[in-house]
Amino acid sequence: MSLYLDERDDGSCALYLDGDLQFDSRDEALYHESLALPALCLARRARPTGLRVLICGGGDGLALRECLRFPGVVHADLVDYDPEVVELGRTRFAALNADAFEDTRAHVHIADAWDFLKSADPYDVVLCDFTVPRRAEDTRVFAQEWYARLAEVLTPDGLLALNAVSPQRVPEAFWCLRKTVRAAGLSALPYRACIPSFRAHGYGAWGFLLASHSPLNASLLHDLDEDCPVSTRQTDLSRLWRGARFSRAERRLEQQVPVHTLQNGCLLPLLLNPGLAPSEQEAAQHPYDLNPLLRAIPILHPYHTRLMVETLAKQVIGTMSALDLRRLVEAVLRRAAALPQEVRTELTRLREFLSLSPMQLQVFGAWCGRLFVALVLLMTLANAIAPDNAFAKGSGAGAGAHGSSASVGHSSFGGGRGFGTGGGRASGGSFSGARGFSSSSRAGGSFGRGGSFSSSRSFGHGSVFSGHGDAPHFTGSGFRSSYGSGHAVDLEGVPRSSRSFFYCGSGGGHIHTYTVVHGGTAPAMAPQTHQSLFVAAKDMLVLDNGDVIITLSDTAYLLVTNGTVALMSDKNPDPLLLLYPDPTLFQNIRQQLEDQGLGVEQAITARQDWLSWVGWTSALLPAVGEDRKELTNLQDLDRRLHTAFDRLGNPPASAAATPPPAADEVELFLGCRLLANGDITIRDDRGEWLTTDGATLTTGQTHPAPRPSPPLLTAALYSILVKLDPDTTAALASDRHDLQLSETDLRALQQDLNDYQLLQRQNDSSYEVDYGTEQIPASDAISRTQKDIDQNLQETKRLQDDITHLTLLQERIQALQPRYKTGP
Amino acid sequence: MGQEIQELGPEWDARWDALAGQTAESGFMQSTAWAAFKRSEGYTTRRYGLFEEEALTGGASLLSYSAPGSEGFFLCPEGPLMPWHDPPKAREGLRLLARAVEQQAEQSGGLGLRIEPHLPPPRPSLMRNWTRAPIDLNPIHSLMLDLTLSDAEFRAQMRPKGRYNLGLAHRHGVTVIRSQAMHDLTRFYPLFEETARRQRFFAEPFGFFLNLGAALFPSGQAELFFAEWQGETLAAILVILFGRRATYLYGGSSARQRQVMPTYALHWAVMQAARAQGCREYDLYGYDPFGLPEHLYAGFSQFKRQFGGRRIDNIGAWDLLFYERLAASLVERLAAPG
Repeated sequence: MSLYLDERDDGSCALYLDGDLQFDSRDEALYHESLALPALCLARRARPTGLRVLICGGGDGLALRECLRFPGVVHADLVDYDPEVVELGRTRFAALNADAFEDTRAHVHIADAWDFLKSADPYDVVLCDFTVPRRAEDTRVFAQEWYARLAEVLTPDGLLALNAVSPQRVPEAFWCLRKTVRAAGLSALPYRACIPSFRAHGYGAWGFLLASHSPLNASLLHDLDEDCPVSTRQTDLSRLWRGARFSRAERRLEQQVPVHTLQNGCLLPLLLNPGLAPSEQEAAQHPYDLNPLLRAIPILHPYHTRLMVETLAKQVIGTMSALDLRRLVEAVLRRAAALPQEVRTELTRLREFLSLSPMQLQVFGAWCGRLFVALVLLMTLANAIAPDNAFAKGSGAGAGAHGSSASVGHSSFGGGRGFGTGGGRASGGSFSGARGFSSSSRAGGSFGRGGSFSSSRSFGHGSVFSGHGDAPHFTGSGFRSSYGSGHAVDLEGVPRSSRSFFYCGSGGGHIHTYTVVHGGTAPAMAPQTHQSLFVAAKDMLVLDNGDVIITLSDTAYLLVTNGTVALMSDKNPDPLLLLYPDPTLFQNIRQQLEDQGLGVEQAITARQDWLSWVGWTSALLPAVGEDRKELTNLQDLDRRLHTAFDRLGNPPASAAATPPPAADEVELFLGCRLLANGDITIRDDRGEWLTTDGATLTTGQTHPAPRPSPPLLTAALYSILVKLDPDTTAALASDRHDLQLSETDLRALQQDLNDYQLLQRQNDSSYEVDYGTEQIPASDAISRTQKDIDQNLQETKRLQDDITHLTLLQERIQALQPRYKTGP
Repeated sequence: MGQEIQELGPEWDARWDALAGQTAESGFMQSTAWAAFKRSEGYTTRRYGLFEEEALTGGASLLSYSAPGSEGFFLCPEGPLMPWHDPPKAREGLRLLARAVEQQAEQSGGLGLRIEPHLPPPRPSLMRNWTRAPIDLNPIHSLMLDLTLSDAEFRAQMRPKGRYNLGLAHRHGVTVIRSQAMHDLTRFYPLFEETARRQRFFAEPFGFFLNLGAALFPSGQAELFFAEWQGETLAAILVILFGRRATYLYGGSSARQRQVMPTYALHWAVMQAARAQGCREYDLYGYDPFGLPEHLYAGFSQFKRQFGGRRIDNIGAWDLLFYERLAASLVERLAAPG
């Protein structure tokens, strides 16, 4: 256990155990008064004098201080197993705990609480002030058996108060604790309080339980302030009852969680995995539906989040094809006696199949769903178990793959050979496209395709303001100061560079009847400047008026509003061209807005929940005022996102998704392609394809005769090509690097193969050779090396194809740039 | 004369650290202090030495982590130390290590051994039976700065823009403060966390840094550097100094006052300090050599490139799976009721 005492210049201090905040001297009274005083007051109603108190944990002496200053307490035992904390309680914290350890009524025992309770006299009040468990062994003092033992030492009118966990952040674990206390034969009253320092660390509202042999209900807390014979420093006892109000939905959780016992140890999994996960069995029924499988993987360490574990799982699945399945299946079958008959039968069939042909993971999954799921879980857990893996610093640029869309952009679990071994670079899903190219080996790609999105969608763990963070958060400014300060912000409240857009009218009606390409009636309104307000995805912005922008280059963008899509340029307030309103585009924008809106709404709920009963601590903590401001900002953003949703509109019902481009075409953005001959074709709002070579424009059926291409359009296309150039160059450099490695590896493999063949010829067939660090028969080494060579050749071929494709593209882009560089 | 492997107790700490610290294919994650840090994070550590004619020639400092109902891997980040230049010997040494670890796994659990030495790709033939791990704890590509150069030589190999920005930071009067005080972690962490959010990577929790500081500050193996300007802390980095190499492991900067180029002054100061401590190279830790827009280090590489340096490519992490353990765990999972 690591202990750290943060001592500040102002004389205040904070104690951390294993990195978890235990108390901050600036608001510790809130916590300790909330824990101790309700129990003491209620116990005093039955027994005004001669109170005997037991404190389990709490070696800092702060809960002890509350007991000793309470009239009627004649004896207090404190039992804590950590001598270091108790020593601090005697020395550094002596001023804080009012020299509690010097009081003759106080008796301190350095011992395991279980051992101490083996022989103990009855107590009128028991306080459990244990740290929140991080390891399985820490949960022994939260088990049913433990509370049953406490029930035995509690007098008939006695009160038990315990430090629980956050009902806000880990509701399942909180209600599990209540159920566990009740299973031990006690009634249990849950309540919560807000501890500003806890909340600043992302721990959420803090929960307590009050328990006794007789029934308890929230009304008992109503007159607490009148009953309490001592004054409080920070807690407003007259309002404590408000913390005992829980919604029906919250209380219902108790029915869904098990009782925590020494045997089942269910508390830690519930603590680490808020939101009940589907079972392995459910996942096994659909081995190819990854979502239930991913959700079934439990979080094992307090450092981790669900997103981290799921990201990791995808990467593990992506690398599992390297497993020697035949060897694994044989090893499993040697232990088959323990297995259910149907699994055994399947495995035997699998072994026969494997002796005939090489194994594919997909076949394995189809045949042996349960085993497949178990294997994925096992391998993922094996990789997730070490806490550091979540913060792996690998670059995601291993041979042959460059990160999955799940990990790109924010990744940790950095090795990044993501799920989907088709190889190739997932472009990370950019809205503006063009990074995807149209090569079949490249996932992701242009906006609206491939289901890949910008990183913010998958990243948004939202902990910064929702209070659901797993890590302590020293929250930055968040929405308090960044929002509305002239910067665009993202879902995390992080300010991003802002960009302004100058165009004529929007929303409200079909104003864009005039376009640079098609002409028409000039717009009735004067153009206006609109600022980007919210960064919904890497290249998707929401403007202050609710319009949605997809940025294509430094100067070109798509304006999506009222069921229309306009190609725009910063250089002109009128649309260059109205584009075909592809329903896929609208659907993806809507999905993105919905996801982001959900994040904002969760943040709002968390803030409201917090502010609803934090009000009375505002004198202590000026930050509460900041919280109100943040709430206002979030609500404003929420309204604007709703406006964006409304303004987006719908494309005509007749609109159909644009078919994918041909193999030799490159999609610059949805509905715009670079053709093999260097022309660029764009689909307009009537569904016609307009084609330009930079100088002339052919307008489909309506105006078949070529006419000069508007310079503004050419300039916009040029800016997109210019942006594409360095991306292509980078992709080429990376592929060439991989190819070089692949070729070096191939030479080494072929050398190995020659050596093995020579050794086999010189010796008998069972002659053993070095294969890596193993020694195996030469014949096996030959077949495995041959398999490696085949895989290498496939990879080499893929890289060569990609390089050919990219080289062509690069040449085309570079050759084209002068042609399109004619605009203003 | 063959090689032998045996476990190394604490009496070997100094000799082990001397060897690991001077081995180019290794690094600080093999050090004794790093193992102590990992133990405070709940890992179990174990160290093996490889001997030839009774002289310590290599070995591995291993980490493992256990949780109820799950087995993990034995992890050997930045290791093992092997005679990589002599492939037959390295093959034998690695085989001895693998056997020792698999035997250990039979007792304490463990599905495989994961190694991550700093070797240039592709993987050597002697690792043919190892499979690529899904996670690399360390960056595959990095940028290494040469600390044996004089200041003038170093500036000369920097990019012009980097040289200019460094000069700018100094002209603005950015000062750099060094610290190995625990309480300064509370100054470091908000900057780190802010940067993590801005750059979209998962940030280690505060407790991680408390444990790191407790284990590495006393021995001088980790140090904080803060760039200050007009009374404001603008950027901070946490550097590991071990043997021949200094490593820029964590950093953070404020979005304010970027025009005074605090991070340039910061790294410059780190290099001076590292050189004074006997380090010969400074690892900028994580680099995108290609300019890929979606690369994990895309945002940082543009900056790092300004310091010049030499690109390093690593083979990444590789696993040796213990198939018998894997099968046993699978059967246990499948045979469990429900």
